[in-house]
Amino acid sequence: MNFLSTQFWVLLISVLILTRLIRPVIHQKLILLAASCLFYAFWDWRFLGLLAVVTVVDYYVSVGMQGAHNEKTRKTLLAVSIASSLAILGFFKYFNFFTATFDSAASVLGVHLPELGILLPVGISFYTFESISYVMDVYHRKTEPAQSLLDYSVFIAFFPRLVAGPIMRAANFLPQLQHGIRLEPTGIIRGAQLFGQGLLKKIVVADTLALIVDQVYGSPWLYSSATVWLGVCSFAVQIYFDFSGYSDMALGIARILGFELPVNFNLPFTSQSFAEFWQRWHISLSTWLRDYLYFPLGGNQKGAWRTYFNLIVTMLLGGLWHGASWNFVLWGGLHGLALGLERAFTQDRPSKEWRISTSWFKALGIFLWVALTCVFFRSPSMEMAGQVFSKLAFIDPGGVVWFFYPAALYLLIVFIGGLLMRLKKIDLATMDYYQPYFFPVLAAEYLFIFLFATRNNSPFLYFQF
Amino acid sequence: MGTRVIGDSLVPVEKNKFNRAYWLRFFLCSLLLLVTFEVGIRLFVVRNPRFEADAGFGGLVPRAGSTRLFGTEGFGVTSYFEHGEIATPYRDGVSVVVLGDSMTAAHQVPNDEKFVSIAEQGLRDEGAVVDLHNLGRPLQVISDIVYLAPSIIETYSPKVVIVQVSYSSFSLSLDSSMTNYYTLKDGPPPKLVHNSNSENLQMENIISSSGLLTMLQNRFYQIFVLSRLDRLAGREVDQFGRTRRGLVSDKQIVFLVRSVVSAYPDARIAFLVIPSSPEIRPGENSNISWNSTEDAELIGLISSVEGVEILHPLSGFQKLYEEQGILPRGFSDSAPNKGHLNKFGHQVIAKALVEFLLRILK
Repeated sequence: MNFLSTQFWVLLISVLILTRLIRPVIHQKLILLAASCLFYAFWDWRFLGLLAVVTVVDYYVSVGMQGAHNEKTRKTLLAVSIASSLAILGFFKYFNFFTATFDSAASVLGVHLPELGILLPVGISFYTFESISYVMDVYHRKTEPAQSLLDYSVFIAFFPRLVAGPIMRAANFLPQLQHGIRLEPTGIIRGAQLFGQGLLKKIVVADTLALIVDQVYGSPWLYSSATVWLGVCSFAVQIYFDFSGYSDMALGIARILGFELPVNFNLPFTSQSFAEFWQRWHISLSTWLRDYLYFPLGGNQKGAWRTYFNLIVTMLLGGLWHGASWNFVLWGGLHGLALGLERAFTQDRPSKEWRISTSWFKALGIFLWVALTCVFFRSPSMEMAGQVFSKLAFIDPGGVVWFFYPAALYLLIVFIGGLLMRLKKIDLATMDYYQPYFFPVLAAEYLFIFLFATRNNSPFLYFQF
Repeated sequence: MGTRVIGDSLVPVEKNKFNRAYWLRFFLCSLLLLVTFEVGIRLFVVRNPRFEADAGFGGLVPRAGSTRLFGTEGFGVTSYFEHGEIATPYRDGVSVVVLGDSMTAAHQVPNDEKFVSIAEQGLRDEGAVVDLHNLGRPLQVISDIVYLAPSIIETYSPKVVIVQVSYSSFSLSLDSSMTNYYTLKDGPPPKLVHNSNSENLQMENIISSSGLLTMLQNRFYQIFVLSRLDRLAGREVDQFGRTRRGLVSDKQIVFLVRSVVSAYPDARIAFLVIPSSPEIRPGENSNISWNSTEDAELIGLISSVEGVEILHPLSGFQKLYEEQGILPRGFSDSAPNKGHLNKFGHQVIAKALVEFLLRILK
């Protein structure tokens, strides 16, 4: 069940109708929890138990920490919770990765490590990170524990963002939960606008770009170097529109229900530095990594070399979070390296102010770096990545020439449109809906989506994480 | 901001924002957006020809002199002669009729890049005064071709009838919702029966008059009809809903081929089987396979009927790829190796058609 399926809309409409009929907040929370469980069960009901385990352990740990007066007890409880979350994540996501990695070493000793057929539970990377952030915030007294197991369960399982984020913070969400579901005209209109925006990004732009990306990454040998370049750049834009489109849809649905979720993307391809890029791309993950990994490692407080080390380790683990493969680790490591080098070689903090003469080139440079590192992100294997790079370097330039002009058009629109939106400070989410053009433009957006969405819709890319 | 008396006080009250001025501007904005959509679609995406009723040639056909614009897979403008015949360079000479589906109608390329037009010019260049009549129409199936025979013979008296086919040309003849006039009823013996579905000409005219309405109709078709085809065939369809082998039996195919031969008794019949897209297996190494067992099976069945010739320019497609690195299908706004023939694919088919016609019309 995803946002584009009939079952989802039946579920959402049922929730909306029920919450109009049932007003007590506690009952509305139960409805939300039931809907979230049903939503998750449609993906794979077998992992509902896993979600329940994570929820129950963390809730009672937080209650225990609240009641404990002994710092050692609090630390122990924190360690138990984090260990359990990481153990679950490690087993389901990384067991085969680690056994395959160490198998070659172990085989020298005549030992072969087992490979298990482990299914990856949908959304596990997202809800385990949320649970870790919750217990750490409770430990550091940055937030109060959830008032009840019900509240915490709704926080963990909240269906609009359960399978692919954004990664929520309890301090932001739990207070909103106290008013239950609020169906207000403003929220519904804004939610519909956000949802439409996300839909446009996903099924018009991202799925169109998928046509060239899938072909180029499937058989790079078949295509010319220029075509492969277009495919590589298209993937960077595809993943942005796919993921930010999903995030917008999640935010839109939450908004309809009366909840504000954190913005996850903010024109990342207008960034003028690597640091700024990570402040604009997958914001909920990058801030999580900053707050719960980079800062605990020491941040930039322990000298220059330790700062570079912290940056690289944080990004390496950030890469690993995306997938159990050395491709992702390498991707994260490259970004960490870029951040470290940028910090080392720029005396002052890179300016975010827009200068006509230089900002375009910086933004283009950042985009190209992101596109090239994404080759590791997208390639199914290192060998395939190598073949893509040999095409990009014009080592093997021959092949079918395919100028997929919709991709070129979307790249141009994204780049120029993003820069203009940043320069003119345009924020579609705050457009005044009392203006007479608002609803016609919203209707036109949905009509455009209906007319121009591709028939071959690909699954959301971030569901695999 | 207005005011209102509440008790003893004058209280400021926000004016109603949704007043007459708002609704007037709302209506104008909506109208402007609809007009923008309509103009944009007509200029860049799709524009229908004007239609007229022509019962003998399939009900509603494009009027002589009108044009069709097609831009979602390639970009082409198609112009028409009478009876919905797609215009070709010449209108005199030995009459040869070319029937087929969207591969022959080829709205994705301009008139002069369609294989029928290229072949007609090629024949003239070789000194053969042949008039090729392009009667291709999207989704035209074998049973339609049989139904149209009396009108085609009366109007064109063809010496040769070229029938461009794929598996769907046969399998969709079984589906009464997909054919216009005849449906194949399975035996014993199988026979073609008149389809009781009738076209709603009025609605067709209304929809076809607007680019936006046409696009909406196409989308509904993609969402509901093609999805139904997908389910029927167990996903054995390509992106244009062309069905694969499993839906039509050998006996049904042979019967339909014989029906065509019987329908055009005075003409030489040739079936043009456009080679399937080569299979490109994803992976690190070059892995492209041109041989299609489905094509081979279809050709075998058609050839089993006496008096029928086969055109299958596979070697031309292979040569196009091996020598020039060009695949015969796909456009810059679709995907290589998928969908309809591009201009290079049409050139290969035209060359094969010229060689064939020069041989049999000598």
